[in-house]
Amino acid sequence: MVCPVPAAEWLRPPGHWRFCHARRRAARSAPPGALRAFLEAPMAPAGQPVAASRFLAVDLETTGLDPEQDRILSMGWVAMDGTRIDLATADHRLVRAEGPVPEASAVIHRITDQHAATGVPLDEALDALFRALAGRVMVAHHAALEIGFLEQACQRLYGIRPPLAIVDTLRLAETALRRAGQPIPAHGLRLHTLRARYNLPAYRAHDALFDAIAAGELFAALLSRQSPDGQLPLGRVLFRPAWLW
Amino acid sequence: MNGELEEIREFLDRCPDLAPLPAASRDAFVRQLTLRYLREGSRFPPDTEPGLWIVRTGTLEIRDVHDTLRDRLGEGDLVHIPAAPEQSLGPVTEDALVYHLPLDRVRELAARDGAIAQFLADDAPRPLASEHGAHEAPDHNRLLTTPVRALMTSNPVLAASTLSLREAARLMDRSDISALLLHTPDRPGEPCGILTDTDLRRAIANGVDPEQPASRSMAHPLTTVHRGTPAFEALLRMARHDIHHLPVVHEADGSLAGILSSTDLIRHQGTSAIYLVRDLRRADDLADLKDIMQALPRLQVQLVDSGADAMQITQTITTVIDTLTQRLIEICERDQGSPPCAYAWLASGSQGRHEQTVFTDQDTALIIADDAPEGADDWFAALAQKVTAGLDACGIRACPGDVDPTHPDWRRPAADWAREMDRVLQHPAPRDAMLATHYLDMRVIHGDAALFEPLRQRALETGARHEALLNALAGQARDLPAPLGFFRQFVLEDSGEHADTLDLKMRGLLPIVAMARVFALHAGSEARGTVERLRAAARSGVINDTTADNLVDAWLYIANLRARHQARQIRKGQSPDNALDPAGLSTLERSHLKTAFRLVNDARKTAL
Repeated sequence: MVCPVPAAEWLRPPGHWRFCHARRRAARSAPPGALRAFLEAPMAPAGQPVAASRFLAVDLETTGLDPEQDRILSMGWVAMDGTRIDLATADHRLVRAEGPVPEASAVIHRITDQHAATGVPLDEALDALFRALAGRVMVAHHAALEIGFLEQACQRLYGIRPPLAIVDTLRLAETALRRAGQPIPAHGLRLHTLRARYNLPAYRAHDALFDAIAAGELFAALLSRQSPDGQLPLGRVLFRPAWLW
Repeated sequence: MNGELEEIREFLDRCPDLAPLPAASRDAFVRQLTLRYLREGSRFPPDTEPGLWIVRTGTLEIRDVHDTLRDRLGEGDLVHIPAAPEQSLGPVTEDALVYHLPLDRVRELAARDGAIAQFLADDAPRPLASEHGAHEAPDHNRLLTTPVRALMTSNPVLAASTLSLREAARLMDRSDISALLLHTPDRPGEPCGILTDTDLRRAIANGVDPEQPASRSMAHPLTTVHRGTPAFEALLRMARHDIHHLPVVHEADGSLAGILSSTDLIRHQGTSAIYLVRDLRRADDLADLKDIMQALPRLQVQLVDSGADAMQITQTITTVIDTLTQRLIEICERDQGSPPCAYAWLASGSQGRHEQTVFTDQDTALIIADDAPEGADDWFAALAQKVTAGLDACGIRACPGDVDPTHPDWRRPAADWAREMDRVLQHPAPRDAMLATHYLDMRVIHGDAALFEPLRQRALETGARHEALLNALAGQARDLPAPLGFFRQFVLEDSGEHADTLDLKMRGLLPIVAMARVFALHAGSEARGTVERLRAAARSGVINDTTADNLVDAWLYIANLRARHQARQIRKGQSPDNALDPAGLSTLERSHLKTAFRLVNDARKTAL
């Protein structure tokens, strides 16, 4: 779903005000630190062209798909200025496990118990992520997962659910394919399938950092088609749960 | 920290151009890179940004100020642009992911790392900006300057020289290659000799035991060329040594990069049209023709690549399709017995005008002598059936408007044609305008031209005298959909398969074609080609020279754009069409295209 946000900055939709309001409220209840700094950083206006916007492509590796039950194993991110991905900002954190890593997910991520024990505590990892995220809009593939896990983690650690502005490359790609009248095959919206469609190289799957880079590159590829001149307003690529917009 | 970006470092390790850099310097590199996605059709470098660029996926072209192809960069290729060029260096020909080391970071790295400074200073991998600035005489023979890298076959087959002659022959047969590179067992990856079809032939003629090692029959030592060697120099080297294959090696470390054959060079010269026509003439049945016609899309790509303009391309393609039609008819005549009387096979539409591209359909007709014996029509109906089906099977789609001789309206005796053409050209009903355009564009492809030419002559003479026909054709030219809407925006197709694209034929070319037809008819010209018609009309004063020049330029520009668009689609394995996505055009191209469309609109308003 592309949010129906008018192009002009002065025509902010009511959802935007609500969103900013929710951010300010969350900032007041957040403990001092990276999360609060992130929430206090001004939110880019919805009418700002994507080329002038700053993003952070993020990927979380988790033990499963349920934010209530499962937990974060590692996080990777890389900053994008417009559609330029800067490898100098590429970073990732392994999260120290509190329990054993389920075998099924260990096979996928190649993160074993021993490996996970070398990670940092979750709050430290979140701290690094939110520091990188300050002033930037998050980009992720299948963003609902990232939102769910980050909200859940913040709820547990800080007692708040931070409102996150996020670009979902899966939704963007889906819209683009539908608009082009192209059939979407089973698994056709998976990150690696979509990347092949846009002539992007195959990376080793399920490595948080490379999946973040992969999502960032896919976002750049999608934008190159949707808005070759980069003038598309940011609001048009944002994905939020319906209650916000 | 570098372990994390392993995947990218591994890629850089494989880049031949970076090979001279020590591993530690390459590591320093990785973290300084930015990633950019360049869409096909956009210009390189984006925003004419200098620095070091490395192609991860996709392809781009480097062209000089004369738009001559200087280089084609693909995966792993690197280009160093030391200063911002005045204009872009060339188009991105396939969606590309590129790594970019911005100029300030290049300088920073060079200041910190002697090895990098050295690398940038001596190797200066392809210093392009200077080349772009220099105004050299345009060279017409691209073969002089195209690097062999752009023509060679990458990933050549390399085998151990201990292989038996028989095994070597089998490997060559399986890989469908005419030359096999061989290496000594202790140095894999480093070719020491070459075994070609000729060597095999000689070995058999001399009674060499096929179980003997291939090394006894191979040619060595090898004559090699660098990837950047101009193709012309490679050709000279082949001629001098009387060989047809050259291994191509990387400048940096001498490692094998590809193999260049004399066929690659010939293909680049654009002589393949000659081969295609020759093969069609020799074909024995429909299956052969179908096979040969598979090469037609590649021919268009080669023509575009070799810098042919739209006139040359469409004329060449039309010649190929004419030959195909002729050969199909000859095969039918052979199979169903000689024709009962004289006849001629006609083509109208783009084929009649010599303006076909690889994406075309059939507009054909039959004219039969008046002395046809009873029942002759069955023979011609069968011919029509087979030839149109044959053309369709060879990729020339059957006409959606039923303009083909399987339909009795398009298969008539000469006297009947004469009456029909008189009717349409002298007293055209409004809906006859379309028929008239077909009649005016018709051309004899095969058979007795004397049956049709006098009819066309007469039609042109009478048509030019009849206001009604001129008005009908002018009306048709005016009614074709306009390419530009308000605010000079492209009018895009708003539905169907090609939604949001621009139909270059319908909105760009056909309006010009239609105008040229009216003007030429008014001028009493026999010409069929659009450019020819416009020139003829200007000569006889029907339109002024400026209008003619403008329309010719517009036609050439749009037709060139279409030929390139289709070549791009073919290269990507898509089927070619006329639907261009204007978003993929550069600003300059877009503004040229708008100018071309504006000329068309202006001419329509003033001249019709």
